[in-house]
Amino acid sequence: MQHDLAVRARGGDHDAFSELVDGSIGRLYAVACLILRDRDRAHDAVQEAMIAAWRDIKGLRDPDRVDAWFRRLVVRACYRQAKREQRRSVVELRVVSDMPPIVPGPELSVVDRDRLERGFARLGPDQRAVLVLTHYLGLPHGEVAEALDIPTGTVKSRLNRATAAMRAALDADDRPSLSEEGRTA
Amino acid sequence: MNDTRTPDRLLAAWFEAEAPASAPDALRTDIHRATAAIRPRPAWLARLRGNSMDVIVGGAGRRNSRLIPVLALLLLTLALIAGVAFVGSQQPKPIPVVVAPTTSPAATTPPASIAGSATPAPSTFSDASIDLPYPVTEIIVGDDAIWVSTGGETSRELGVSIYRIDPSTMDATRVVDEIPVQQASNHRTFVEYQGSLWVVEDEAARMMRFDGSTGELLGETPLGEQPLEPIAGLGAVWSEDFGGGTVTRVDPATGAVTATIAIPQFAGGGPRDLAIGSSLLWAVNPGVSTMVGIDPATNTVGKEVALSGAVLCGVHVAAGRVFAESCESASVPTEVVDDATGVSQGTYEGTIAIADDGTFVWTADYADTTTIKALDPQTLTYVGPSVDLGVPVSRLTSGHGYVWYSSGTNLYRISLDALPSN
Repeated sequence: MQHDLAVRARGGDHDAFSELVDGSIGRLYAVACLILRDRDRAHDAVQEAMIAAWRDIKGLRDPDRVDAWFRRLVVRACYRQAKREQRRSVVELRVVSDMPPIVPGPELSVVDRDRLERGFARLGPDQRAVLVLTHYLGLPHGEVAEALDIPTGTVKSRLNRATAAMRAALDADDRPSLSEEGRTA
Repeated sequence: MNDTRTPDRLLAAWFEAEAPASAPDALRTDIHRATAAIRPRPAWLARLRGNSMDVIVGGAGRRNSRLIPVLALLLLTLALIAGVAFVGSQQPKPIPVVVAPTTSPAATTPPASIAGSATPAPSTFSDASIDLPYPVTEIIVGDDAIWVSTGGETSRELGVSIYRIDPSTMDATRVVDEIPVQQASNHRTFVEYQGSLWVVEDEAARMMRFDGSTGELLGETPLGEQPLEPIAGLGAVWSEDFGGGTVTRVDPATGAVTATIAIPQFAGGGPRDLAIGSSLLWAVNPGVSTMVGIDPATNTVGKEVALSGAVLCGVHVAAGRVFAESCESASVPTEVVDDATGVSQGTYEGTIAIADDGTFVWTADYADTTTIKALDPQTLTYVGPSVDLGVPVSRLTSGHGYVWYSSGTNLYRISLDALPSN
């Protein structure tokens, strides 16, 4: 089904392209939201990626890999959005995620969420992307490498560094502060 | 930290909880609306820009290996430039190929970046070139000049600037300075006719008219729902209304809309491209296999031509022939009919990026983006050797004794006499 839609879209069938987008956009939007931590910018990133996809749809060689292609375009668009945000942040500080508050599940306490939020905020977009693609989409390293346009070895090392950074953030928050140590001494 | 609190597990749970359940409807609507107004790039251009699956399949390792010949070519080119520079330093100074633009008294001041400081990428055959501040988006042949539009920082922020290029000296004068428009598409945005420049903006659904000498805004006309691809000839300026499914006719003297022409054959769809024939305005629509010719005397469809059924996206007229290009033109031949009779003349494989030199029609080659080939419009066969221009061609046309082409921000010209078309 998706193969047929991709073939028709490649031939210039806009309806087929729209149907393809409808089938993928939920996941793509979620990925962009997680990487960028901002729904407005995620909206812009996904829109920019899908416009690029339609513009270059004729260059699609393998219709079976249209999902991977969309993912790659969205990640690229997220990088661009993040760069723009870095430029803007010189005059416009945005430190709080606009993602709506969540009700913690049994695996995730409010404290965990706050720690994850803080740790994740310290990561660059490339490290966020590798974590999202690995732990949210559950992609194997090879597919993450394709989406990020980097070798598989780089995926592994980037994932290790990102995970270590998150672990450090969580561990740091677990340690008592100096003032607390002083009080207990 | 116990096992359930490892970063991996916590992240997976956090992502799952934070991820929105679905995309907002507004996003779907925005994408649908924006893409409906865009014509996809030809396959060769899409692949050239790196947004293609052949890059992604096999990952970065394969792409790196593909870069080897490119790097080798780059090194060779640099070595060649260095060699030429050395030889040049031993000889009298050659005629420069980069011509600094002049400024007409009434025009705005050209940006400093044009003033001969940048060196255009070398192109094998060009006899002159100029580097403009932004990528060239269109080359239009006028009665006594070549008109070139350039884009802006991004594909949407076109900030269209229009330059008048003297065909013989290649002096460039910026006539219209960065029109503050948002453009949802990469369609043709302007045309020159009877001394005026006509610019359409699809998102604001308007046509602006500028004085071709001074750049002064002479007027603005609301135009349908989504005006695209303006073209001029047969006594009028024409624009397709892609959203409204009609063709709009504009009086070149007043800028007023004089007719809104429905095309029943397109079943409510708008034309995707227009071309001026000897007596008819030709229009194609990707949803039907019928090309229509609009009679300017009656403002109605005067001729219907049944084609083979390919998804039609482009139409050009050259050498008495009408060339109807498929969106799938990398694999589907371009269909050719006689401009006067509408009778099929056959097909050929290639694009309709046409430069009509009076005898042959030059086409860019899908298989190799840096070459152009001469097509005999009578036999629809290629003649003579291909011409390797040395740079990827993004726009191609001909006029005033030259073939004109662009690559990125560079505009090049080749004398027709220098082309090996015989």
